[in-house]
Amino acid sequence: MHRDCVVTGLGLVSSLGWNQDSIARALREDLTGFAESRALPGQAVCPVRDMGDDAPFAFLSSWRFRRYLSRPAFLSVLAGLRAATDGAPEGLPADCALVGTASPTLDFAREKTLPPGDGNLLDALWLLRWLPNTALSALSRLLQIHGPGLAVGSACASALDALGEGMLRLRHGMAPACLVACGDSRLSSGGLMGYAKASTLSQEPDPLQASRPFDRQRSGFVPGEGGAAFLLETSAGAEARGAKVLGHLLGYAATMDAGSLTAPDPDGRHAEAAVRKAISDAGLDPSDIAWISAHGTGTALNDGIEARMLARVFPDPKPPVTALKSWTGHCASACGAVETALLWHASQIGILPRIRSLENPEPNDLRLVQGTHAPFPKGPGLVENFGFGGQNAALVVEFC
Amino acid sequence: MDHNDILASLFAIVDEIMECGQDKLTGRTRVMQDLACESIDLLEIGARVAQAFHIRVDDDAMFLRSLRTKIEASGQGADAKTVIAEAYPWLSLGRVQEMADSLAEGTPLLRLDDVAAYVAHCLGQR
Repeated sequence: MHRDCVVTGLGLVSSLGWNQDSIARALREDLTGFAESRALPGQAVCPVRDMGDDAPFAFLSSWRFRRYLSRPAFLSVLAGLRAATDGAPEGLPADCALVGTASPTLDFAREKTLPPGDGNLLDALWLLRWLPNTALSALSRLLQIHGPGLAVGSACASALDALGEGMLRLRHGMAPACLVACGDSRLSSGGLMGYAKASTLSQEPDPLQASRPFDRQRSGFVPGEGGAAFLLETSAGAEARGAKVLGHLLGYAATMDAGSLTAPDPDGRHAEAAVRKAISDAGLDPSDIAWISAHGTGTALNDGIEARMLARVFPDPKPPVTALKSWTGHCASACGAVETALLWHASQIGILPRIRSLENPEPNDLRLVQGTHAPFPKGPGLVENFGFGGQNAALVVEFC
Repeated sequence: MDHNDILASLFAIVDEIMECGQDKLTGRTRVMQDLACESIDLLEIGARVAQAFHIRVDDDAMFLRSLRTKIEASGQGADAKTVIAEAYPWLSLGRVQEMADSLAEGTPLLRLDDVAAYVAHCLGQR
């Protein structure tokens, strides 16, 4: 039995804002969080400065078990509480499924007592800050849901994989609803060191210009952070309880490159397969796709491969392409959820965001949104992310 | 270090974990009933007690976790007071009596005074 999947709740914490008003203002007035890192001077990062002032934030900020939440987990849980409050203030069904991502912080500097320091000074359960399922465990407790839980770890494709898994769980009748909650932050010294050693970070000294997907001057990505969550259920379930439908998850697919442990396949063949399969899974043709949210990291390697792949898949007239990492930096494993949530907010004010700092696009056949925002097109759109290890994920969505 | 000194340090530790306010704590505060401690909290309190007093903490003993099991294992006819006094020699005779009396009502009521007594016992053995 094929069950369709709708979004009935959305929660967000991002460097552009956390609610409709703050995000609309950020997009219209070009208010971003890009700044120089304190942990790694000279490096641009994009932190969340304002997590919001709603009831979920007030609650979580004083929850006594917050000590066990890494910053990614805190962002994930906050977004999850917001999505649950938004979509089902009366409470989620007890057998609601839970899927998400929340990485450890890699924040070695904060863990001053790790060996070779005095390990006796650590919290007895300090490892909870490093386990990938702690955010889900917290959400399960706080929302009193008991359905199947799954922490996804597929690098930067994680959040789209989590959304896809949530959609599949509904399709297969595994649960009446699924909360997908994702959060990540790699802005600590340990996180930045990892990327710096891998020579993937932007070299641009001006933080405001540092994240420039598809631009000739791009030199790497800018680490960001954020969290986003979605309450998914079948349209029948949403209709039965009179829930407002925010959007539809129409199709999903994922592939792996089976190549480098880090670099993407140079021809993007398997990323292309994921995109084509996701569109097919939605029962659509590439010509049906009205807009595209590119992975667009701003690295020399990714953007070229991605641009050529998209040019192959989509016939003329090509759909407009945005790249939200130019606004938020790279939210790592949470990027797909944060970008999808931001796009939903953007769609509500009719804006398909321009790609910031895109001044000299590399020659390609794409219709990149450059200079000014484009009107948000009606119809289904494609969100795609590609992660370290050759993880490719693509999701087809349509917003109401 | 006397009982009150130990209690003062213990209040700081418990407040750090439970975020309940030190002014709310007394030696008579019941750990499970008044503070709603969970097993995860006892682990953290145990770890911090060990760190603060430089002692090796046996969580099972300090929090009397096996008290009921010990009494049941001693068989019918065994005197509960004797079992408690032998298993937890840091408890005063008055507390042993209270513990034995509370068994009939349900879970024995561990108080912060009992935890402080355990710490004093460990410090005395060093």
